Amino acid sequence: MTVDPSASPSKDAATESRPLLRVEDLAVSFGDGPAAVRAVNGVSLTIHPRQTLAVVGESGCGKSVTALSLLQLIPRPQGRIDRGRAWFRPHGPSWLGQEIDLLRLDARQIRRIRGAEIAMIFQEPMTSLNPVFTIGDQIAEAVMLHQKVGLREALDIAEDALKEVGIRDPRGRLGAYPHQFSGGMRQRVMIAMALACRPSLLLADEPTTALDVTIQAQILELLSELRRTRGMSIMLITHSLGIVAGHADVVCVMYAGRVVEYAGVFDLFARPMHPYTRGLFASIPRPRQPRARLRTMHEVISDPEEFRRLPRSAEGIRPWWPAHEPPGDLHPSGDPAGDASLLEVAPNHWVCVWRTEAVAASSPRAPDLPCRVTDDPRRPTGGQSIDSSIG
Amino acid sequence: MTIGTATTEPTFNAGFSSDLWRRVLPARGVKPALAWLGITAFCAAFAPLLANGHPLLLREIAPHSGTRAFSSPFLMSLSRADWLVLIWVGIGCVIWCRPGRAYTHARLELLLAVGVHLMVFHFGLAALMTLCEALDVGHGPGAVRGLSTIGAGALATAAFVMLPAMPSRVGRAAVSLGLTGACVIVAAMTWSRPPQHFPYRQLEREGRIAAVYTLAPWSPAQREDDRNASFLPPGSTSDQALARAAIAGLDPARALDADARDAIQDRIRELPLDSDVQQRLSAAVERAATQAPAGVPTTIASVHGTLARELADSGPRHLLGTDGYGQDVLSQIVHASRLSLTIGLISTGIAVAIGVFLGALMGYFGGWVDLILSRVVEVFMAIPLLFLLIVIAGVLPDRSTYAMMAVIGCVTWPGAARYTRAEFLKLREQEFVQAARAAGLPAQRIVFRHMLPCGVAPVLVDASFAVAAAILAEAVLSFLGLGPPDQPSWGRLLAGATGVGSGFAWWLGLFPGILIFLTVLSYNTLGEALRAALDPRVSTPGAASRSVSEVPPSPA
Repeated sequence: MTVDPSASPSKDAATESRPLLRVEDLAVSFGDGPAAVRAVNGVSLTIHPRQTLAVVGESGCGKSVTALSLLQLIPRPQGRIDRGRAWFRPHGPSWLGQEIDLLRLDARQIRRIRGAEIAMIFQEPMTSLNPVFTIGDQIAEAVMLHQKVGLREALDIAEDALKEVGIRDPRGRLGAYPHQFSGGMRQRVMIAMALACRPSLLLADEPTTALDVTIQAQILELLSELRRTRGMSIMLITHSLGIVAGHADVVCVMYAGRVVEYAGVFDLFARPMHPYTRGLFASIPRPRQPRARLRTMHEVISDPEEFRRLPRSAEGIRPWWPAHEPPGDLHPSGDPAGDASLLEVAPNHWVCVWRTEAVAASSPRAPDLPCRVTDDPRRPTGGQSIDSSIG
Repeated sequence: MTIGTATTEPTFNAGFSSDLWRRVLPARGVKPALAWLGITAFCAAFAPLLANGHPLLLREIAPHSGTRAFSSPFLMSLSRADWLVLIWVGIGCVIWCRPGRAYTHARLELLLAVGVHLMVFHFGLAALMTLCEALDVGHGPGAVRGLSTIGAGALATAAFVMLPAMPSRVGRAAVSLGLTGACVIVAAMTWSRPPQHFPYRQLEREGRIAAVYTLAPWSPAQREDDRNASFLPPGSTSDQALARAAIAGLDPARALDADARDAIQDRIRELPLDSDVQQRLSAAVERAATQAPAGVPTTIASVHGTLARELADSGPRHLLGTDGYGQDVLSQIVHASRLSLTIGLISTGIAVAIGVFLGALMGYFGGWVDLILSRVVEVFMAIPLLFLLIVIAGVLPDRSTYAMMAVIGCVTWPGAARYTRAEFLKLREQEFVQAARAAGLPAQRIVFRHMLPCGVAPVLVDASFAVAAAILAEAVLSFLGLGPPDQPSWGRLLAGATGVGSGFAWWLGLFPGILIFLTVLSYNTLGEALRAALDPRVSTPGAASRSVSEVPPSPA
């Protein structure tokens, strides 16, 4: 372990130590009865103000469902939130600064959160703008809804937002329709729309997957800059470890609806602990290290030795893996999260392990890292050159 | 919205509707269809101006003093509905041609809002008048008049202000006040029923007036002076009808003997004609009897020809003939275009409103809402429209046009509902809907403002076919004699073709038939072009027609 993120030079870590969002044991399932699918099964994570949390994982691991369920956007009635809490601290004056549970707000309350407190941008910029309205209309509509301003003021705000995301001639572009923009420009418009109401948290669901590499870099740079200037937190959902390395403070690796590893970005890149994470890193082609072929994820996961490399392996703590038989000394409990548990195996480094007797005995700490290292010069530079999709 | 004023490049902004329009317009037959629909719409809007038995301008000639007074019975004859339609068309022209950068949909919205204002005033006034009379509130017509007009004006103003037609409140208030003022003036002008008798021709013959008429100088309800003069073929004048009346009831093959001559002379004296004309006719009859070539018996039929020739070019012609009541066909056709246009548009409007609303609910919410409403749709699809209309026409005490519109609208909505549902099921998964939800918009706003404009295009196809179907349904019902009474209708004219006695009146079958055919064909062509333009599998019709037109004409 080379870097201790909690000791990283984040000046206001102490003043802003109160988390913005705390998700505890979130579980979401789709369908009824025996055909039900657990899309998310016991996800816990924390986002602090001005922090970027990257959620990485394959397609279908529950990244997007986690984000959607925070805004109660999972499709009903097939989707259902089974359990969990999502404590959020809205900044709007009408909420009196208290912490609220996003999953238990009624329809009217959650509408006051959506857009105003937590905004979301989506993967496909081509389809996430309404084709029949001008973008000025679309941005101004949300602004008028949340900020109690007239049309003229809302259009001014929209113009400012467009200017902020780097669109030229913002006044003229207000009257343009989405099909008159390129993909990258549309994603900028989406970001402008999300930012116009000044949310404190931005859920970015694979914001650059549909864009080419240059535009990708521009959009991510824009997001990082906006986070700095706006003091906004970002939950960045992505496939790409390169993006994680370049833009995240804290990384949350997910697999099969669970968080398998949760650590600061330095920690994770320096010392991945779960075999799945190691598999991800192993399958990245590295420049200047020519090999005949890369080690595949399957090879890593099917190697039993990989599962004995946890720091507390001697205590009988084994990384959780859905394909494995549970170990013999599994702690019998009626816990709905099942046989797995997120354990802090090293300081500020959480790994999903089987809930054996040893794990059940240790006092658990929820994954919570207040570090902000994005602008840290020690950021792993190799990550910039890593551009591999794992999905 | 006012965003249009903020743009610097208005030509660069091509919305979805203008894009659709560009694809529909070059399709085969669309331009003639639109032209025909434009003609019918023009006829409907200006029917009283095109065909009216009341002269545009009337000059009274006092027989002895020689003083002259001008008046316009045409203006007095216009009903309140006529006035309001004319106001609407006038304002529509102003809104449409007004320079400025307002979007087409903004102009359309304003136009519709004005239309709603006028309609609310019209029907509100009618309802309030009935109410006041029923309750006996206002003692005397003045109080009733004041109460009703104020009430209807308030109602209409409120309706206009509720509509989101104009962004600025001051502008909205000014427009609605101006409109209400115009409505009140119209109400005051048309309070008493317009004159329903047409004494002008008689007065003209007597030399007491001089009159200037419109293009077709007949009103649809205007009957020929003599009931026996009915069923005139195209091109007849009304005086020829009178000549016919002189021999009506007599056997045409009968020889023109002295008895017959006396009978005809008696009738000629009873005809409502000038005395010198009567004398001319009598002389013609005598001439026909005396100057006949030897050996050829003069018949009553030949007298008719003589009389008709004598009276040719006297008085206005019935260009398309008359029906069995002696009413002018052309005038009826022009006025009936109003009925078929309103029946088509309003009943389809009702159907589309119901269908889109329920379809949107089904598609957006899914689940049990979809399950239940889908069954309702199936129930309504099983109802045969024509038989229901016939039953309703038989059951209702008075067969009004509005009842017919309501029935057609309330039965034909399943098509629109199913199209909307399918479209919304597709749209629901689109990311912009998700994005709108993520922005915190309420459900009704997402459904009706964001999804509806995207999902309504297929409904347009259904609607244009539905308009054609509604027009046909009205024609069929009127043909069967179950249409709205006392209203000119194409179907009713058709039914008159096989009227009593005189055999097949071809002009009654041909002209209204052509009109029904062309109108229904136009709407269907339009619907077909819309369908082709919206169907991604069909290549753009514009490209196809261009390539055809680029083929040089063969020298042969």
